[in-house]
Amino acid sequence: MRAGARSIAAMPTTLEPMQVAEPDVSEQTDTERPYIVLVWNDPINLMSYVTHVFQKLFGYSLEKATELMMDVHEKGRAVVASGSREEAEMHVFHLHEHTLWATMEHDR
Amino acid sequence: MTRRFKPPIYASKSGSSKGGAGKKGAGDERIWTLNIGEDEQAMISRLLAELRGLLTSDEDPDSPGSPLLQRLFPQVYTDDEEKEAEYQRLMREELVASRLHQIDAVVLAIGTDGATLDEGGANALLQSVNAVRVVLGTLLDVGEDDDVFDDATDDEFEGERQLYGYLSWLLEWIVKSFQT
Repeated sequence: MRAGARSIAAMPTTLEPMQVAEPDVSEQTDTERPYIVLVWNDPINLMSYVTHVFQKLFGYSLEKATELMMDVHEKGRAVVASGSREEAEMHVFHLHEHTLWATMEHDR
Repeated sequence: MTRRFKPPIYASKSGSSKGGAGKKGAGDERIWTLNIGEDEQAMISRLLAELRGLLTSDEDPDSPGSPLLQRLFPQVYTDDEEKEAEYQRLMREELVASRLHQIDAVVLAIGTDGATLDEGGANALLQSVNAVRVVLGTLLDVGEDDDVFDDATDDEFEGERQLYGYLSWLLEWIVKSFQT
């Protein structure tokens, strides 16, 4: 990033050097890359229950929790949270305590 | 079926209840009343005892014969075997312990007419009743939009079907009780 900043100064004034200033994701290590927490549709958990659990665990409004629940129901899955590996594991654990089908993976 | 004057479970402010005495802001705490008969409560306790037995059984969770356990302890990392193994090694026992703790909290609190639960107990009931539902639903192979009473062509699981329906009804009311 710092090297890029120096090259900006040396370049003529065009829009292109602006792109150099954007975060270089490839520099981040594997552990720094954020995770997303997914909840998958299953035919057993009640819609009202899933909505309630989302509100309880993540502090979402009824509207937001209902929207996520409907995403799970209709699209088969929804991203309900994101964060570091530790944060994501904690969310997954709490979702499993409530017997929801949750997994986590790197944000792409 | 008789119509109830009150739901099977409901929350109310503890007010002057002895249970909240001595705690700061005790008057604002909610108390959940279980408005179902002792026989129904005993049945819930029995089901939770069976769930406890399943959780503490020595069965290999990865054996193909234990879909029930697999549903209670799902895979976490779908694309990283190493992290998955590490997670399960550290957290699986934690999840068993948490589930057993919830079961014990419920079994301890219920069993008598007009049994009451504090918020922790009500949450334990919410989680435990759903865990039993999920086990029964997995056993019955419930599918999307299935009405478990529609395809009761064989009577082998008639009892389980009845229990599943009962617990679904109860869980809806437990969820509602938190919204009041």
